[in-house]
This record gives sequence, structure tokens and C-alpha cells, in this order.
Amino acid sequence: MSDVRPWRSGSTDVVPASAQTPAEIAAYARQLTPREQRQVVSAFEDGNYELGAGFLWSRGMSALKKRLEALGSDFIGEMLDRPDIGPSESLVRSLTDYDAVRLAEELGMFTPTQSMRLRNAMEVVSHFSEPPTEGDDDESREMLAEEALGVFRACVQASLGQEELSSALEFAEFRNRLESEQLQADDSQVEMLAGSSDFFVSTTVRVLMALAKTSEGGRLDHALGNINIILPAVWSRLTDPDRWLVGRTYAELHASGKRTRISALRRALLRVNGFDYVPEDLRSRSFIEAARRVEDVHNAMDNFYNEPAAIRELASLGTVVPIPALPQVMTAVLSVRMGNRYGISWDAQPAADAILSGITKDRWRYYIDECLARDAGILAKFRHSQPRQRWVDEVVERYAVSEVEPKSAFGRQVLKASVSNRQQRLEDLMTRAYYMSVGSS
Amino acid sequence: MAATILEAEGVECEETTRCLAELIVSLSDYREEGAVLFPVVIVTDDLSFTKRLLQSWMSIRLGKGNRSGWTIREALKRTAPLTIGNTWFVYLQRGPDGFEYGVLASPSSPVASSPSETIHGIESGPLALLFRRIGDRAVEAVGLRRRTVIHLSAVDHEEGAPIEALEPLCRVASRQCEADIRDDFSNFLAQVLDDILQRGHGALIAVVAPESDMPPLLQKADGRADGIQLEEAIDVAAIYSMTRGAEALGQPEAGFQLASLLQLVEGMLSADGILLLDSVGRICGFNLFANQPGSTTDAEIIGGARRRAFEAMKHAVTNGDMLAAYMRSSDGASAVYVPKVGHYE
Repeated sequence: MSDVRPWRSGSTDVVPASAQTPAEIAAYARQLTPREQRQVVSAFEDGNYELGAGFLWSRGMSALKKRLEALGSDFIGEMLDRPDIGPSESLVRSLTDYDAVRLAEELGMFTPTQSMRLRNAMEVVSHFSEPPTEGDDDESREMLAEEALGVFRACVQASLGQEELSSALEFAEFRNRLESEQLQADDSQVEMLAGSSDFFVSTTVRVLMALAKTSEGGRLDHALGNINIILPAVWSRLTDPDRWLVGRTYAELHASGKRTRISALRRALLRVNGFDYVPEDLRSRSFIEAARRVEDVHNAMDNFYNEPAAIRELASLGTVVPIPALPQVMTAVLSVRMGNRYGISWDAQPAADAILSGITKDRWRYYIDECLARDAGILAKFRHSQPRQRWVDEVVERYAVSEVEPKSAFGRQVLKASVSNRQQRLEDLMTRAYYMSVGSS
Repeated sequence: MAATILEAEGVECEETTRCLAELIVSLSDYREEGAVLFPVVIVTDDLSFTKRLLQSWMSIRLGKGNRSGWTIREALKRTAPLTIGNTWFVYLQRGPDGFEYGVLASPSSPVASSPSETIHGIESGPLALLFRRIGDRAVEAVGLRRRTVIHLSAVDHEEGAPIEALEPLCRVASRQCEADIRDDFSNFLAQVLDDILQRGHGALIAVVAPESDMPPLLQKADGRADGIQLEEAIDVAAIYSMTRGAEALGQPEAGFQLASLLQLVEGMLSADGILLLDSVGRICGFNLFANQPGSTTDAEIIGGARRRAFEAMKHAVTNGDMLAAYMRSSDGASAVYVPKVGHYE
């Protein structure tokens, strides 16, 4: 095993820059039938951009999720910390578009630029799928040709122009080894893992925790043994959220009385002095699930309409957020608060405000120091001026985040740029952090 | 015995040793307002670690004092009445100035590992000692490295921790359960029975094959069961399995059903007679009596009757009418009779 990109993207653009018209781009859409290609081109030529872009996005995401299924649906579930996604689960049905894009990006299926274009496309399609609001002028809500063309190109580049996957991927193979082989502490694979990228280390730990919960028989024995080898080797590299994941796994196994698994994980936690990251109860689970639902609706169609109910449910759990759940809760509530480049869900703001008003300075410091630099979803928002400005006005200023004194250099830089409203500086800082968080240098 | 376990757990402070000796003596026959109480006491150097290890969702501090017997007695007086029902434990946190004390909540999930099982399962860590009364003037001490029973009576006792006799019984009672729960259910059942019997006055438990006839030993002359034979066996293993699954999915409501069922089991064990299980983890009957030739009357000493019934149950195991037999006397002594690959333990 080596620390290679799990997916060799090749990085050559499927759609060359010279392809400018719908017909020229359609020629590269291998996964569209000839009839579909003609229909899409016809929609564009007739000015039905919303219809054409919507169809392309839907087909593109289905194709992308199918490619991810090659890794194994249960593996995808482990990476996303979603125990509801089992080995026979259809990712087309159970994976949100946002998670599919994020995951594909982290796995190196796209270059950072391709990923940025795909996210833009996602926002465009999502915005124009929203029903018009009162007072919205129908003319001003028309999708422009260049916006539709951007969606077309991004979808073909990301998935519709890609061939079917035929080779096994190194990451999926590594995952299989974790439950089929017993590694040793001086194993070169373990040593290489300890020096691998943060994403790879984090994902390995996620896989091991999932295997501790779901494997059986001999595979379970290997997984438990490997936890006691790998966790001490990488513990110092893990962020707090990942350490809390390990602790939460112990708590969940303890609650379900699975003694052999508890015993192995307990040994590992003792070796790394990791019991500080074991929650005393599982209240955090409710917060994490509710936060996940907020994120899902925020990144899906009709998000402005659906966000209020989801964020109110999260707020109803209480304003004292357990530390193990803080990263996910902050991502969810900041997503709602900052919105996207098209605006915010106004009806969702009171509940978001209630949650953020309850975040203490210590918790803000924890989030800025330990979580923000890896929060890809929030970091990506800083590319657009509206969410970026809302961060300054509706988050930093409103909740006096400037009074927090971060310990990390990154945290201090972010707050300094925010307080002085240096928009370009903020964008640069966050963009760089974003690419690092998804494993790009 | 007490000194041995304290030494094994690295307790070198003489004051602490004296305090723990006071604790053991107090627990061996603890009463408040005339009522016998059975508090479980956890002594630790790091309460935060202990709470996370045991998955205790709440602790309540009630007082503190120096390292003296007075502090121990005061701590028990204030905390022991709060632990009735065994959903709370007493804690004593040792610090440089003495002991802080209070109560700790038990884990929310009824299928979770018990504190004694958890503490004894780790081999290193901050000091964690669990003390509880397990019979008349008998206290069990569980540490990271050792567990032992300390008898304060003059009777010569050789047996180990009570759970060591329950484990073979429960292995038989779970022998035909589904493979994915068998071992865990066996451990769970042993912990549950151990906890219940700690507070009881003795017990007799037998295991039979599923769907088998009532053993002749437990029948009256007319062939009917001499006691209560359930029309439908209570499938404890199935409810345990369902609860585990529900906990894993974050649906703890199923735990209430299991907790309720365990209270019923405690009630059954508090009745005289034999509790009858089968080897798929079901309760088949209770309040059953052994039909022995020349059987004793109620005027007989209880302990003697229990011993004679156990001897008769052993014969039933040998004859194949039963699969296992277990006895626990009021002084905490226990014995088990289980066939093992053609031999008997």
C-alpha cells in the first residue's frame, strides 16, 4: 500500500477547451445515448436551459454514484459515517448529490478545478429548481445560456464523459486488507500509513470503526487486532473530530453490549490515553443525526424551502451541544446562516440564530482551531461573495466571535481577516484550506 | 484477602488500606433504619475516566472528608439509601486531601457491560476498585487485575467470585441461542443473575433442554409441575437480541422492555423454589420444588432443604433430565453442576 490517490483521475480534461457549443460538448458525453445527446442539444438550442441542465445534472449524478458503487456501498457508508448504507444499498437512492461530489473529490476523482466547476453547477441547478418567491420576476429567474453550458461541461467532465470503471481501486483493496489480514506494528504498510495524508489516515480510522461495529467472525478478529496496531500509530495525527469518532464508537458498542468488540477498543483507547474522547452518554448521536439532516437538505433541491423544518428540529435538542457533536452541528448551522450565492432561507434564520447564540467562546475556539480548517463544506462557501460577507456580518460580528482568541495560526488569520472585512484575504485563506482539506496540495 | 487484592491493585497508602478495610466491614452487613442495603461502591483516583469507562451519564457529588474510617461511614450513610434499585452506585474518589464521595448513574442501556465486568476487563489504568456485598458477611472486591470474595465470618470458604459459578450455568442456558448473540448473551445473563442474587437470600436454578417435559424431580405425584410452569416460556434471549439491535440503531426504547423483564426475573428468584431455564435462553418456570423421597417439611432449616434439593438436581443432571444445576446459599456460597464433555465439573 502506498499513499496514492485512491482514484487515478488522469487529470486530462475529457472535454477540451475548444468544445464551446452544446453539440460539441455532447459529442464527449459517452454515457448519454445518441438520442439523449440530440434531445439535450435540442433543449439548449430552443432555449430550454433549465430543463436541459436539470436533466444533465440528474443523469450526471446517477452516473457518478454508480462509479462510487464500484468501491462498495458499505465502504462509502463507512467513509460518510452512515451506518444506514449497507453493502446492498443503492447509492443512487441513498447518497445525496452533495455527498457524492464531496466524496468523489476527496477520493481524487476530479482535479480541484473540475470539482469547483461541479460545485458551481450544483448550486446553479439547485437554485433554478426552487419555486419562485413572491415578487420574483420570472424574467430575472431565467437560466442564462452560459450558466447552462457550464452545467453541461461540468457534468460531462465529471461523469457523463467518463468510461465505466473497470479496475479495482487501491483504496478498496486496502479496506479489504484491514479485515482480512493481521498487520504488525513494524509492518511497512503501517509505517507508510502513519506518514500518509490526513484524509487517508482519517478514512482508515473511519473504516476500522465501522468494521468494529459490523464485521463478524474471523474478519472481526482481524479488524479488532488492526485497531490495536493502527490507532497508536496514527493517534497523534488525528483531529479531535476523528478522535471523538473513536470515543463515540466505544460508547455505542458499550451501549449495545458487544463485549469482545468493547474489550478490543478499550485496550486501544487505554494505549493512546484516549478516554478523554469517550462521551459519557450518547446524547451526541441525536445532535449528529439532526445536523446531518440539515446538511442534506441544505445541499439538495428546494433547500430554502426545506431548511426551516430541519434546523428547527436541531434547535429543539437544546442549545448545549455535546462536544462530540459540535463539528457536525456547526457545519449544519453555519451552512444555513451563510447560505449560498443565491441567498439564505429566511425562515430558517431564527432557529439558526438560537443555536449560534448558545455557542460559548470556548466552543467557538474549539471549532475555529480544530474543525474549521477541515470543514470542506463551509470552506467552499468562501468562494462566493454573499456567503463570505454573511460570515463577516452575520456570524463573526453578530456573535462577537472576534473576542475568541484562537490558538492556531490559521484561526488567528481567519479572524483577523474577518474583523477587518478583508474579503480577498478571506477567500484566499479559505480556498487554500479547502484544497488541503480535500487532500490536494 | 483484602490486603492481597489491594496490593495487586497497587494500593500502597496505609490510610487508604485502612479506609477500604472499614468499607469492606461496613458493606458486609450494611443496614439503614433496620433495612439491609446492598450498595455497590466504586473507589477511584479519576472519576472522569471512570465515568467514561463505565458509560455513567451522571455523577452527583455529595461530600468529602479526610482519609479516615469516619469519612467512609459518613459517605455510606449519605449515599447508600440513594442506590436502592441498583441504578446508581456509590463512588469514592481518592484525592490528596482525602475522599470525595457521591453517586454515579449506571449505564442507560440494560445490555451494557456491568461495572464489575468493565473494571475487571482492563488490565491497566487509574485505580478502580468495586466493592459489593454478595452474601451474609461476604463482600466481593473487583479490581483491574483481580477479583476476590472476602468473608468476614469464621467459616472456611474456598470458592472464588460468585460469578465464576454462574458462568458455566449461563453457557448452558445460552448453548442453543443464535451464534451471533450466544457468547454475549451468556455473559449478560451471568451478570444479571449475579446482580440479582447479590441482594437475594439464596437461589436454585436449573437448565433443561428446550421443549422437554418437566423433569420428574419437579413433578407432583399426578405428573403436574410442583410449582409454576409458564404456559409460554419467556424468551429472554430474543428480547436481549432485540434490545442490542435497537441500541445499535440509536433506539433505546427497547431497553425499557428488557429492564422490565429483568425486574420480573428478580421477583421470580425472590420466591422460594427453583427457577427453570432452557438452553435457548428462555424462562420456563419458577417457584418449582424438588420432589425428593422423604422430602422435608417447612419446619426444616432453609439452608438444609436447599442443599438437599441441589443434590437431587445433580442426580437429575447425571440422568439427563436436566442440563445444569446451580445453587446459591444465603451466605453467598455457590455451586454449579454442569456436564463437560462426558465429565462433570
